[in-house]
Amino acid sequence: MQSIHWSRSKGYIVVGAIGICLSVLYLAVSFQMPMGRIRQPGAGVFPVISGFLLLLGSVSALWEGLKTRKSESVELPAGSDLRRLLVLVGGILGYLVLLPILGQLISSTIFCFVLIRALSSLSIGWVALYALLMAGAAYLLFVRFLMLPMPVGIFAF
Amino acid sequence: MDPISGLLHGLGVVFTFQNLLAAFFGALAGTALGVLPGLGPVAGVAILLPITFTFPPTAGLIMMAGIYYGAQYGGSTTAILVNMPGESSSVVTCIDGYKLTKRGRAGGVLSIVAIGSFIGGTVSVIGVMLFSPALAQLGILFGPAEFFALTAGGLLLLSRISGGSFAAGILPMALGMVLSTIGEEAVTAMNRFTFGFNDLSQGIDLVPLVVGLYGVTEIMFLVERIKSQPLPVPVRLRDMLPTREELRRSWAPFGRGTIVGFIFGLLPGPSATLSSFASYRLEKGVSKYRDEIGEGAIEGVAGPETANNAAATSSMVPLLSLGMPFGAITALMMAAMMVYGVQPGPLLMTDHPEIFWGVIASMLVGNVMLLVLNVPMISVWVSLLRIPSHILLTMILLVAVIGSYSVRNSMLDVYVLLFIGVIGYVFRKLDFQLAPLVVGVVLGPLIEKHMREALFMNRGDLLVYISSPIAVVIWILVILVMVPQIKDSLLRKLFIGRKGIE
Repeated sequence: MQSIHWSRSKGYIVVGAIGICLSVLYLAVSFQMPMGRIRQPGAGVFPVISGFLLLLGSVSALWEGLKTRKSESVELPAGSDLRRLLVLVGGILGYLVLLPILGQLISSTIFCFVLIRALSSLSIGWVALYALLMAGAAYLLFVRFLMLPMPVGIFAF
Repeated sequence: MDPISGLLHGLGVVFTFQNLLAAFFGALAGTALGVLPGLGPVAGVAILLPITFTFPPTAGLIMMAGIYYGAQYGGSTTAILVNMPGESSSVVTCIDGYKLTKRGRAGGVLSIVAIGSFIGGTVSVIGVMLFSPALAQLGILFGPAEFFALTAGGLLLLSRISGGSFAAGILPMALGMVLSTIGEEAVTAMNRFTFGFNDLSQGIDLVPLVVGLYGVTEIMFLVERIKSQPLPVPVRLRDMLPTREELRRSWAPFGRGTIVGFIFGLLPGPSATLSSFASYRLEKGVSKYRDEIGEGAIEGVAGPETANNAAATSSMVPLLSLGMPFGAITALMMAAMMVYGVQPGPLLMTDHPEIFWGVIASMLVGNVMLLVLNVPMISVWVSLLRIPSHILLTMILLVAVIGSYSVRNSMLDVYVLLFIGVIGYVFRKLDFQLAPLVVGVVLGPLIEKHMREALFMNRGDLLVYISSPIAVVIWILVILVMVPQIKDSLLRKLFIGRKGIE
């Protein structure tokens, strides 16, 4: 596996900082909700408690990040490993964008093609065949047999 | 209904064609998913969850239980054959299991695992049968304050027991609670954090959340190291017979593993994983062959594998009797029950005896099915490991997306799948715990409900939360676990005090 090492403390600091920003925003919205009275708490009480817990978790992540030794590291993918991972995430993202437009069958075929191409060294012909078979099988099983309603897109299937 | 009548009633429920088929398909699909490297029981149950919704409630829950213990067993196959645990509870199985495989004993070891899983699962079902009704009777005494202590305290305990640092548990737990507040609020029907999006008013669904967190995240990890997966050794049916020596040495670990697993299953946390590690440690401490453990001893496989199946079964006790999910899978099962309109908890046994006893009896039947499926079909399971990863991972992702969309016919759920998958990847890289996030999402609404009910019923008296002995005991336990310094100083005082007396 090709990898690079990234300081764990930096990871905790970044997660903690993002968490603090999120919890402050979340609390700001929560405080605008009705708090009710002590004998009849309103809809905003529990979000406020949850928000403060998130703030506590985020601050503790930041604190642990600052206290963690710099030598402790996290292994991150690099080179072709990173490329595969990015194709995977990009492929899923593209699939989600295309799904409501092109419908389940066509978007699934494209998704399978892209992913199999990225994860294997098969020729384009084989990749296309596998993609068609897999998307077709999923369509028959889930949409036709189990009658699960999936987006049909502009081509209506 | 006493436990024996209950079990007979449950067997009557299970022995219908549809429910037997559900148990069979669940055990089969669970084993298949468990065998696949990386996809453990949580992702397996989550991916197949939408399919279970096409069945009636009892059949759907029986199938889910089958998937759970099937996946639990399946995970050990990869651990033994290719030194790659299918899920975290099979990590210790790799140590001795793979060494025995290299000595040509793969078939025998797999049979020992099947027998151990059967014994652990079956004996644990008897424990579930006896414990659940008793605990449900106790649960009937619970009011909002006790339930608040149980749900909020249980969640806090889970966040600390799951492992890792304070932040690694508390941050995902709080994030889960925050996510649970999105959508229409139960008491006044007010939309919270929906920002004008109608789809968000139904809240974040658990299926895409769990599939994203466990399934997509796991696939991202697998894609990273796709080139380094070893191929399994072939195992034939005639190699499956364990030797007399292997069987003789396994009986004691089977017994010890069952007890350890059953106890761990009743506690909050990743019980199957913790029980397998505890059982391994126990075997290393008490076994007659302890010096061989770690070098390829059958005790190092028989004990942990029995324990994790026993724990998988007994983890149903808190869910069925108190409505308390202590782990990600039981949280999923609880969410599924709610989709079916069934509220798990002390009243489940009286309101829905067919579900309560049906699920318990299905575990008994499912364990027999697992034994029958696993030994003769081992070559089929092994051949699953030979499916090229580019086919397997693509197919799993396809099913994950279809499954996530189909629960509510909402594209939002599919976006959640990817978003949570990426968050899960970052969290796992940094060793944050994922289970508290899932349980936080499930328990969040319950904690809020009990918290508000307690105040409403007691006219705003804040002392209501510590007004009953049950609630006080739960909170003391939570404080002891959350603040280890208090526990340590208490133990030290007790220890020094006792030494002084002696």
